[in-house]
Amino acid sequence: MNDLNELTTKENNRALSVSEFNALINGLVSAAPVLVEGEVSNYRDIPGRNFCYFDIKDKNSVAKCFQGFWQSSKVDLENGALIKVFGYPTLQRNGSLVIDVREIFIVGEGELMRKYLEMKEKLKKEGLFDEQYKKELPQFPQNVGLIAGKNSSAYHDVTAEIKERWQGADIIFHPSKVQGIYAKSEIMRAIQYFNKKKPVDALIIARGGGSLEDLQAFDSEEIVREIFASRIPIVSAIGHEDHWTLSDLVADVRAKTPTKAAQLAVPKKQDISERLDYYMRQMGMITKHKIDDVQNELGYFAHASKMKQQSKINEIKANIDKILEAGRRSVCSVIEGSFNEMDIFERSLKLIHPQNVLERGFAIVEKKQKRVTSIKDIDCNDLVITTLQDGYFEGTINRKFK
Amino acid sequence: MPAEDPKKKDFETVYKEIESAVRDIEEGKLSLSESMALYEETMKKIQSSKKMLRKMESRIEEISNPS
Repeated sequence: MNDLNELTTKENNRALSVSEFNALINGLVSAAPVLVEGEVSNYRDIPGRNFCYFDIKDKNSVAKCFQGFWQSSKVDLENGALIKVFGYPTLQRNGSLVIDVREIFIVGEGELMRKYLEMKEKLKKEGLFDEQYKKELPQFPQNVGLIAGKNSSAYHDVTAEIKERWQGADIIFHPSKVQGIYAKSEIMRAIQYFNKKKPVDALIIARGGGSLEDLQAFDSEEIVREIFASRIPIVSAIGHEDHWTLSDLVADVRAKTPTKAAQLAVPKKQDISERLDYYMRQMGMITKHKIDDVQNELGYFAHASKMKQQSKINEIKANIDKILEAGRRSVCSVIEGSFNEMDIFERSLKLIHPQNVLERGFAIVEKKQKRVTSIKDIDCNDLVITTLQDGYFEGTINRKFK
Repeated sequence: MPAEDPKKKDFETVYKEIESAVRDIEEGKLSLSESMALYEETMKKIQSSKKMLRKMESRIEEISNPS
């Protein structure tokens, strides 16, 4: 049935049915897809139908086109627009030869811009570019997915920058066409691949600019929706300041260049290392102040005990000083072991604080603002002040005993 | 499998712990012994994070047969 020769020679006694004839011709003409450029005419889009017909023409010829919207997305075409159609030549049952359209590319810059603005407006209204949907990038991704052209400069820029900045992330590279007739489907597949099979921590889509026509795939509704639906946060480096593609606008973060995208996706090792050094110094400084504060607060009441512990405190402070000076050297082992003793010291200081003593039922007796600690300091008729935990009283000494 | 490397997996966790410890110490609500214990623990974490940083290495894997 597929071979014209076979049908016409071996079975030449039997006439083909019309359906057989059409199927036979279809087998021949639809074997390979075609890309045809021409001007749109006679565009017929019947409302409510899931398909449309139109012609494309040049000066001398006309080709009929059929587009089923289940196979490719609808593009509102106007008669006179210059387009490229990609599809399969097909003989329909009514005998017309049409191009069964799988993809439409707009050729003229003006027309492309009009479509771009229309689509941008539509998606914006739907909220696809809203800040509230932007996903946050992880601070320390363990792996980063990359969608870019094989051997493209975008690929080299991204991988070189990640390796330079932060060696802590593996790069999973999914090559894809980034312009031309297969770009859209390959990019969509790649985004789906990462989401379904390789859930990386962050995904970079990089292309590094191009004309409106080159970037057409990235302005397509399908890719924009795919990026929006991605569970993995996406950094885009596709368009440029003069023309952000719709993919850039929907991406969680957009970068001006592939190198910038890499910088946004991973931290810089040196920055993190310096941050850790800063934390080390900061902690040392604060802890040292804390020791000073505790000493000042309790020191007055703890003369006896303080003398004994002063050397320990000084030792710890000296060690913190060393840390502060040494900056990034490892010296934490020096102070190891000191802390249990510090703990006991602090508790003992608290215990001997006068307030604690008063609370236990003891009293402080003072004469002329000096503490009375011996019976020898007291004489009859002396005026003394006695402090309890919640107040004090005055009294005169009547008798004393020893 | 790169995602299974336990050391790398830990880096973010350890880094976040360090950040939060420094915040706690800065706030000054801890007792002296608490803050010194936290200081010591965090110093150790910083040392091990710096070691992790030095050991890191990126690999590139290419999806050759995407399906």
